[in-house]
Amino acid sequence: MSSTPTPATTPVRRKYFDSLRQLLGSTGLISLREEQFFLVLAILIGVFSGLLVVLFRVLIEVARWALLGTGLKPGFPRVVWVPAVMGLVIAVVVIKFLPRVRGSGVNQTKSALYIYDGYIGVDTVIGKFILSALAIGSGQSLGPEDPSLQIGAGLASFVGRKLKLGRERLRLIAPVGAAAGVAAAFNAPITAVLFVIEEVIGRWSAGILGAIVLSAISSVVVERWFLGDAPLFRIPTYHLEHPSELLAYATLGVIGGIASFVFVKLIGYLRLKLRAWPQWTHYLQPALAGLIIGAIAVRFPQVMGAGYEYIDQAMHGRFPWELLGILAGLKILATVLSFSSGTPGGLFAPTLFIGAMLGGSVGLVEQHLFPQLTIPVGAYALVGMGTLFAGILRAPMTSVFMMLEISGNYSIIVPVIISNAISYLISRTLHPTPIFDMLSRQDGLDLPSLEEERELAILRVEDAMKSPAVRAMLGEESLGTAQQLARATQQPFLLVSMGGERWSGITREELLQIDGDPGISLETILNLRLPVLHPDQSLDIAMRLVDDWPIVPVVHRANSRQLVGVIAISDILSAYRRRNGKH
Amino acid sequence: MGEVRCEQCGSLLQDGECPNCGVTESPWTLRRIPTLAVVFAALLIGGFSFTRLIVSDFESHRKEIASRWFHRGNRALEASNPSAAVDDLENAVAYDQSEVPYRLQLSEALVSSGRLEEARARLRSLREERPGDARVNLQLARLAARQEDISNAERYYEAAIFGAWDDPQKANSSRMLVRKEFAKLLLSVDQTQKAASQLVAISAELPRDAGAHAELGEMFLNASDPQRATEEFNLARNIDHHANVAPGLARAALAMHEFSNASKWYAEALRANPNDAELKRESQSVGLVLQIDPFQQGLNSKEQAARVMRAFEIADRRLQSCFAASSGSASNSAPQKNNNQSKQVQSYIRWSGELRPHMNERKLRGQDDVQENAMRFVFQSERFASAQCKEPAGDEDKALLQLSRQRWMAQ
Repeated sequence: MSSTPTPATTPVRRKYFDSLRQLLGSTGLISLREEQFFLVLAILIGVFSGLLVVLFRVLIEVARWALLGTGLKPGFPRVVWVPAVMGLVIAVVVIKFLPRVRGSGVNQTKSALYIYDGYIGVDTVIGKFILSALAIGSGQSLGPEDPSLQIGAGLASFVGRKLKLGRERLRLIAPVGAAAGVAAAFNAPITAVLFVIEEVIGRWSAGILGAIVLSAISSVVVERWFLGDAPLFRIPTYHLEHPSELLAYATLGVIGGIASFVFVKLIGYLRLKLRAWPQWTHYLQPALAGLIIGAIAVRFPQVMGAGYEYIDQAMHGRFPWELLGILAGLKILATVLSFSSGTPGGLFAPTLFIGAMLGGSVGLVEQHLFPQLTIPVGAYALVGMGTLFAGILRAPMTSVFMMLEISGNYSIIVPVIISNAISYLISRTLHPTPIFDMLSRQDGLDLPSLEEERELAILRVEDAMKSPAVRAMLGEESLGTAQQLARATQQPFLLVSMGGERWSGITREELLQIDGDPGISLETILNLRLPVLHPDQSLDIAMRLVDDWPIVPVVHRANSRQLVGVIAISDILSAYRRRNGKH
Repeated sequence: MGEVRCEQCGSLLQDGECPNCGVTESPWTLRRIPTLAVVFAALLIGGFSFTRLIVSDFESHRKEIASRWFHRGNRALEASNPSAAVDDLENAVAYDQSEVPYRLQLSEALVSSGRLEEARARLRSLREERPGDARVNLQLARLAARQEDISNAERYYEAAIFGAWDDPQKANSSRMLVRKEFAKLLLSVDQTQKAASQLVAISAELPRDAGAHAELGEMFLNASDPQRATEEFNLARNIDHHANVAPGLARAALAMHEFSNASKWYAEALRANPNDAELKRESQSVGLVLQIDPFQQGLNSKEQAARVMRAFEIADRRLQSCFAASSGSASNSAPQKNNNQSKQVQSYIRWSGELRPHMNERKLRGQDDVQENAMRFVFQSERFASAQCKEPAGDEDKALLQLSRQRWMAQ
């Protein structure tokens, strides 16, 4: 914007912009408020993120063709050396030039939101785009969704910086892009919105919800335009034949919960161990992981890459239960190795893969033991995916909606909810810290988490308020009556209901000092307006409203003239101290 | 950025605030909306064009790879290597899920390699997407038939018949072939009525082809509809005088108990196929029926009486042997049933005893009512014996039974 136009072009450009301004001005398009502009920006970010994710997916596929060939089963010896050599190349580039590209991208986006004022560097986005594609395309056991999230967030951050948005807007714009990235990667807008709220922002925030929804939807529209609107997986319609079938899914929930715990524990352990090794070994770790994965893939090529093709095959009964169980175990191993070694790539796809294989295996064993169960193996695999997603990523709402969106099958919802809930509870009991929180703490960061926030009991006004020591006066009452009441009490501050939701107050001392006609009503004297609280409101809100008022009225929601209690700042602090065990 | 003026009064802003009306300066983005609109529009156009270019190239490459794997899979299938075909076709499907033929061929390969459940799961999922696709339903029907799941096979065959075919010009002929396949399945499980209704539908649309009509005639014959079978054989004969339909016509006539017609067609069939043992045997049995039939037109009274006597003797013998056989096994049967059976046998034996005195040529000649009574005994006792004992072993007994059925149908 600061470049000076050449004299020859200046009049032409000015004329052009003036006429455009007139045109848009007359249609009201340039009279946007900042909030409206932010929403328009969210749509644009969604569109551009959608385009980037489409190109990212293309690049992954092309990398795979180039590195491993076009068959689902890569030939030997390429299957062994390609992931190892690419692992080495990626490690050198990441460690030497792009250290922020390591990992999945979820925590990096969260860090941008809470630590770096929404900043994600362009080099990080480009690096993530290329290196993740090479890693996944070369067979490392990682997925494209989390990198897509970071790519979307990085793009949004770049746009926000270029548009010189304020600090608050700049912070918020990264999750908007993140939602667009996940939505396009999964072809699932609701999943993306929920995931960004549950995992990236870490709290429910109505202020940004609109922008996130708009960006997610616009990116999905773009993605579908280019890559089609077919759901990620195709399974035959499932119908719950008998309620006893739910027991089968409950069993899957238990096994999924334990598998999730094992997976998270292994990543937590190995990632720390590998980081503690000498620095020079960090260059070799992705190569070593690639070598091991390649060796596994000689016999089990299914463990390579994101593995969506094999999920589809598992859903169609392609594998016997033993093989499904082996694949679930090997994928856990392969993903733990790839991720812990610092190779850029995501955890979503491997989580879904492990879930599908485990679900299919459990389903087939159950069918063998109880032949009366008529549930198709595809349904078990689908529920298994949600189960592991809930157990590993600890995003229970996202996991349920994700299964609906990626399968386009609503009838599966009850089994999904049951199995996910059980897996989530088991995983949470066995490993209270969610995986992304664990990873961020290993990186020395302490980021907010919705999962941990759930643990905290919310304190409400009713937990801190006191009963009123004296009745509230009414605005219609006379000064004389009010002064009589003031003389009869020692309360330093008296509350007056002025009608409707208006409340006022006056110190006892001031009231007694008023020297005027005792017949005039209080509402003609008092012009002070007090904030009003309700018993169910949180103490965080109360803290903001109480400010330095001596007391604030707590009124009934159905009758705002009915005083149910009073609250002061000291009461709020006492309640917090009580909750923390300090008296 | 230059001078910025107040949007309300036009005064020069100082430190982003209007000294006159106190309005603060809006962010520069809001003051540059037209510029931004142009920039974003250009970026959108550029971004979409670039992505379109890349994606269309990528998609065509994917389709090419899918097609390569598909052809490789087909070759493997043709070389009777279904396991390799499955691998190749899975690759094809992974690259292009939208191509129904790939997915159908994959299920075909799965069936060939004995992985029926996998094939079924794939086809069912395909059917979810394309419930009206005739080819998908046809594959499912064949799979169900192979798994002896007749009710589902029927459902899928019907869906295939009424489903949508890719090539509308070939739809009718494809439907007819499916109906024929469906009818054969129904015939194989003795659902002759359902099969006949499919055959009737086929006959309405059958092209003018002697072979097709002859084949349909055979199928009608198997579906116990000799009348329609005869019509189809005649149509075939009208189209092509040399069509080999005489055996069919003979069997249809025999099924309708038109023994003279049957004999005529058997003779013609044997002239064309003199070494066909089956035809010879059938022809001989028809000949025997004609020899034994006392009601045949053109017989003199002597010959007619002789035939009645001969039929009476054959039937009486059969009744006696059946009675002896059933008496032997009576101890093993329920007493109530034995009682009824023996009462019926006694009544037939009594009836035989009443008739026997009249069984000489002189007494029978011209006595139409006695002849009628004797033949009624013959037919009823033959039917009773074949119901109580088993189908007769002797040719003469068989011939009488045929005659009795003809008479019973005529009545």
